[in-house]
Amino acid sequence: MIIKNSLKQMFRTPLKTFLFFCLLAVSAALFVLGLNISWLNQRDASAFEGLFNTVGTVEQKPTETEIDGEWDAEIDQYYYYSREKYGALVSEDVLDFEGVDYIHAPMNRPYFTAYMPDMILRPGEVTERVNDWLVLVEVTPLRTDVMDSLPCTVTRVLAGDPDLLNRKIWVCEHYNPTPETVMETGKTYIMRLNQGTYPHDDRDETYMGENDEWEYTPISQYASQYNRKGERINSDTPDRLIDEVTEGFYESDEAKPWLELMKESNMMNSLLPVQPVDATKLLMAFHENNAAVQDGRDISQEEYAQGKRVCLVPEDLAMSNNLQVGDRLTLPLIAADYGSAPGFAFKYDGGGGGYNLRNGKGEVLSVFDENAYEIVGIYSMAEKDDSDFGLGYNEIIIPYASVTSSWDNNIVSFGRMNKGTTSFQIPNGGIEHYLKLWEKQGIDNLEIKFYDNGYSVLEENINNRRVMSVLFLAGGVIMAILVLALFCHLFISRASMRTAIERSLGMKKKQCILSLLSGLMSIVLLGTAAGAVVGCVLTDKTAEQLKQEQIYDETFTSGGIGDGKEGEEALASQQQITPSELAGTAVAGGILILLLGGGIAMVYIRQNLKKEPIMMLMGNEE
Amino acid sequence: MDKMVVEQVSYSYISKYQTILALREVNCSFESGRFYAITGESGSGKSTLLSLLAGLDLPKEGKIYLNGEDLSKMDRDIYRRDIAAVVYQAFHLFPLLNALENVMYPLELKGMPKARAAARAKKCIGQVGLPEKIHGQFPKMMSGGEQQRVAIARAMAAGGKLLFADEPTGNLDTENEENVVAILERLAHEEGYMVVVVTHNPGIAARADVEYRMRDGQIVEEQKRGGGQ
Repeated sequence: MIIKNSLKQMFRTPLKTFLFFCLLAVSAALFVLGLNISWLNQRDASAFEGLFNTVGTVEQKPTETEIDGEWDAEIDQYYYYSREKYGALVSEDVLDFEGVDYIHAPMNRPYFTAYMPDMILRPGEVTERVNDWLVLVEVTPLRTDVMDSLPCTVTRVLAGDPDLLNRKIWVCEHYNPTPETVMETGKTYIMRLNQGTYPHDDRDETYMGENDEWEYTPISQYASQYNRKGERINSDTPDRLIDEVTEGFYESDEAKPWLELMKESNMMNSLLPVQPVDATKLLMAFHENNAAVQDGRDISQEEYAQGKRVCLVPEDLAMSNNLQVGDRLTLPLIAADYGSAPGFAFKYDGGGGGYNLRNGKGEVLSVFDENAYEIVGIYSMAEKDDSDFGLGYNEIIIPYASVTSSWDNNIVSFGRMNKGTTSFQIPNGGIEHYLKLWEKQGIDNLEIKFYDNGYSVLEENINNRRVMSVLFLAGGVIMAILVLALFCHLFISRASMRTAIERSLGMKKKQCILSLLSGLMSIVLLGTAAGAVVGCVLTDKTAEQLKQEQIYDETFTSGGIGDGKEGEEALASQQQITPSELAGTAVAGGILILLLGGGIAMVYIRQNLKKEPIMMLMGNEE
Repeated sequence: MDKMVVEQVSYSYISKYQTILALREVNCSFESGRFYAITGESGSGKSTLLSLLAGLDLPKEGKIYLNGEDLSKMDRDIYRRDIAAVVYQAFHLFPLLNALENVMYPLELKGMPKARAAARAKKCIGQVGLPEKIHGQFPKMMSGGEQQRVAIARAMAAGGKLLFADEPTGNLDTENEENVVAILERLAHEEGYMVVVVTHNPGIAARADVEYRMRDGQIVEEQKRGGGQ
């Protein structure tokens, strides 16, 4: 009865009640819209957080440029060119500064080479291999002279192109302005040759080349080895350019470096790069979605952290060797290279090189680690990357921590940090903060570049939406408070006489509360419900708008393969808003408004009930 | 037969700035079937005494007994709902309820079914001489006399036999005043109500069985005229 009479009285002031209903509905709609946008934002931000990675690369910049000259026998003069100098190598330790927050700290990581003679490393159509341009041969000069385009006959091919056997070639100390080493006709010499170009005029300006006879430049026995600090370990014995092959030569000490060189040359065709890393996304090809796992799965972060012996293998290698996900692959690691990314020596289309497998003494390195790795994923590339900083051909990816043996004695190259060797990961949205801290370090010869797949742009959108949701939320709440306060005044404070009459008729205080609250809260309930429905409809419209923005955002992630697709699917699923999800926030928003209404109403009702009816009903008369 | 006894009752209004002693050691008594008038000048304490009799508040000192039971120990909500009813000078009807709904209100508050409440309310409205057409009218559509009679009907409907009226004719013209006073007299003398009326009007006071004259919070004179049951 009390509720019925309360409602009856409420609806007998229809204009006031309708206005209350409408204003409350508007505030509830704003509030629910704000709540929904806030929730959508939170959900999208969480989804994007998982899809985006902010990776930085480090590159040591040159300190100066110098002009260097090199003799060029073809033009018969020095050839001058500019060369960048980098000074002392900067350690990645300088990037470990106060306040910085890394997911994966910067590391000038090496890549390893695995010696795998039983593997098919090149499909048939690719002919050039690592160091293919180097041959180790015995030659007999056709005349006695210095090696200044001296014609010779190849009498034996110890390593390299076998087609050279018995062919006439021209041997020239191309880069030596004063060649003095004389080869005598009738004798046999061993030398390592680098294929140069067509032969050129000799010093008498007579053109020496005919019948596609190529010129080759002898290269010394040079071998490189470094320690962990990047210091070169020099050979004890001087490099030799050529040696005369005499009876019993190969049993002599002089022959040992040549034999090691021959051994190394013959191993070159069985090398493949193995990249140890702390996260796949630290490799730019994967981060930029140019490479992606197509079969199986990526190496998990736990596997990386725990150093599990798992690996990702490239599609070409898997196909050539019939490798499947789940197979185990033994990787005999033989060398470590800190100087460049695998892409420098292991080119997709062949022709890479400059690789060395011998230590400072000229001896071929021994395998330093040999373990079986489970293939968990097979990756492919959208576009083959032939830059010096990309993935190498046949590159296998393994967790850095999985290699437990020391490779200190197997470091064949060392160099400055560059984008192919040094990367790190920071939390998304942390670029600005990072760069501010970095500037304070005052180190200007390192260049740091960030790649976040457009997260910064997306973050700005998300922040804009966050502001929008806060405005709606605050607007909704403030409006609801004002509306509730105004109408509680009208329906409760100004109805204090009604309370006094009810009290004089014997109504208990609780019944008076019910009488005042029931009618008011019924309108609050109806208004909030209507507002929540409107809020949901507006949310749907807003979400449609956000979807358009997300399609724009996706362009940052869908340029490549794999993750782009995965990201699109993930984003697409995120964009779906189910009625139950909307209902959840609408109900939550509605309940908040109801509680707010109940709370405000109770404040006013308590004021009414504080007054004794005698004061209100008779106060005027006495 | 009900009897109220007021013993040494004092009451003061305490505001932020002052304390006003409205009643000082008042003694008086009331019985069913009689028509009482409390008279006195404004500020003499007559309305305050009526409010305490109606159970709208409790004395600061002294006691009020109903049939020997201390009013301060009774549930005053039940007392106001079932035993005592008040009629005010300003009528104090619910402005958003019509006449019938106003009269039904205390009945429904007691838990009486709607149909029975409506029937009894209609009967009460009839007893105060109002036509049926008044049932659906809201207070602002009625004259002062009609409103006051609806207020009396509401007081009657509650079923209690103690009726307290504070200047019930103060806002009425002569004709309506006569009607209202006649109803109150009838309720006292024919229906057995204890009717206590606060009034400035000497004419009404003259028709009371007992008149208590007040001054400065005290009863200074009791005048009995006989009559009643």
